[in-house]
Amino acid sequence: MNQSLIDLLRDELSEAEAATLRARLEREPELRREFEEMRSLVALVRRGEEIEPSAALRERVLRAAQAAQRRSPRAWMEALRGLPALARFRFRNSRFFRVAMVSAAVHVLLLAFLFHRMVLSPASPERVAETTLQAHPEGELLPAAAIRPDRAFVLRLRQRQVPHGPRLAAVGIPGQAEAISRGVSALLDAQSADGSFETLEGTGQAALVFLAEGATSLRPDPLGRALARAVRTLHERMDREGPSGAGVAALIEDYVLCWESLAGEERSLRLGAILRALGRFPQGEAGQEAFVLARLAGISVPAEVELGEARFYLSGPRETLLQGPATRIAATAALARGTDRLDAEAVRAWVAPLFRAALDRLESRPADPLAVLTLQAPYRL
Amino acid sequence: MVAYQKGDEEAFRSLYERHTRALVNFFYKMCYDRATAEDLTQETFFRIIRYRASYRPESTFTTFLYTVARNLWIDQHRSRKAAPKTVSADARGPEEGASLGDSLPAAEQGVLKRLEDREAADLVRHALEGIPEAQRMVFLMAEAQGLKYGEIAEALGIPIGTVKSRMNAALTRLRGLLGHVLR
Repeated sequence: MNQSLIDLLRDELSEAEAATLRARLEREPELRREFEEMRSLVALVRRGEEIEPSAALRERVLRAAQAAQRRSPRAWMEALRGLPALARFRFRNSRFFRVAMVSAAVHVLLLAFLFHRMVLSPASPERVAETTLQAHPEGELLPAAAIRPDRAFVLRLRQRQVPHGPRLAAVGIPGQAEAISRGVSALLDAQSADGSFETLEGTGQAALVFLAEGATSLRPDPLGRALARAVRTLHERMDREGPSGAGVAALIEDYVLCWESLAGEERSLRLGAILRALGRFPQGEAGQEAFVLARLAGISVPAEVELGEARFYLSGPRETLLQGPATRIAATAALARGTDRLDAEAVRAWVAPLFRAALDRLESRPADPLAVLTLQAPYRL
Repeated sequence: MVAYQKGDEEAFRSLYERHTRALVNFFYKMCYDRATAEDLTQETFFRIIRYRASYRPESTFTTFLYTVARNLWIDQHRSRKAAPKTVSADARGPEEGASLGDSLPAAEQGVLKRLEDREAADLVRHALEGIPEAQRMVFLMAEAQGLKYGEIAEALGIPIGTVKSRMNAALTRLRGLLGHVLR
């Protein structure tokens, strides 16, 4: 494209150069046509959609500027609380964060070494059993990297042949013990461990992990870990089958059932353990809690919407009313209940009770004052 | 900015009011994700606040602002590759005509006008997404933000000749992608 025409369009030519080029445009229709087309092109691009910055953004930035003037670290940190992506920026230059990262990396390497020595080592009986069980029909062995920890659990359990009946009773999930017992028995009787873990329903997976860890009674921590592991499996399944895959919804129901079987206090304690496995929810604990509250309130959040809620921002003036992670999940739940509009009426009708519950939780643990502030706005509608 | 360096909070407020909308839309057209655009705008201003002492009045504030914005974009682009994929309410799937946000109630605009604007916006969005990032950044700074070649060169740390060639390449490509609409 003619560079001079672009420069003329952008007013980047000197007066003399611009006059010369304009005269040339008068004389040469072809050149003029090209110039007009370029001008139309730029006008068209300028017509592209524009967005309005939210009021919450303005509030945070101006508050940060005030905090910086007052040299108040507390006010500055409060201003920094906001969108989840900022955590990255905030910690990147932190010495503490760097030390923590190096320490974590050392621990991971140490654990990997120990795991390799104790479980995957060619000398260990478990390793021999695994390689035997995973042999291809042609006799070729799978690489060690293909062996998954979940499968190792299954194999360990099969080798031990532990009596699982009494322990299953300790799982204490109403009406599930018999089904789990059948599922675990079928798994233990199967000729091959390949894929067996995935075919077992969620509570079965949780109970199996519980058993494989050798627990003799049900305490919150083993169940929390077991549920977290089961939720991770759910997400792996979502990756394979898509969020609407067969059985995915049933698995979610299972996890909620497990969670509901815990006593109130334990339920709260285990929230983190269960949902930390949900790596797809970057918006923090408040939003995660709202998710579980939505489930317990009987609102079925479809998996595909659930995956999208982390970035649920609304266009137009309502955006300022619907910020904050708990609000986003509540709005998602409202949409999932069948409304295709999300306006003040919908917020009142579908979201307010749920919102009230989420807000109570937040107020009892004021870790994020800005979140509480932004959450209050829609409730006052 | 000099006034803000001397402690005038009102001066910062004025800078914020003058530049935010353009900056949000700059980031928005780089990624077409409202949340990311606001994240980056917020962080840009936070950096301006944090590093206000390093501003030198030899450059315009706009150049300073977009230098910070550009560095931030590069950082964000690097980390985005490793981040888990999320779905934006603003995002459109390949077969979908409208985003989740579009299902919200109509504004006071007329239906035809809105349809027309939406169609134009979609065309522009797809066209902008179709040009390389380096060219898109130059084009948006020039056309959407009104920065001069010299300011863009300073903000991006590249020669003016490179700015011009990227601008030329961007327009050529946009013309190829949107030419059928113009004729």
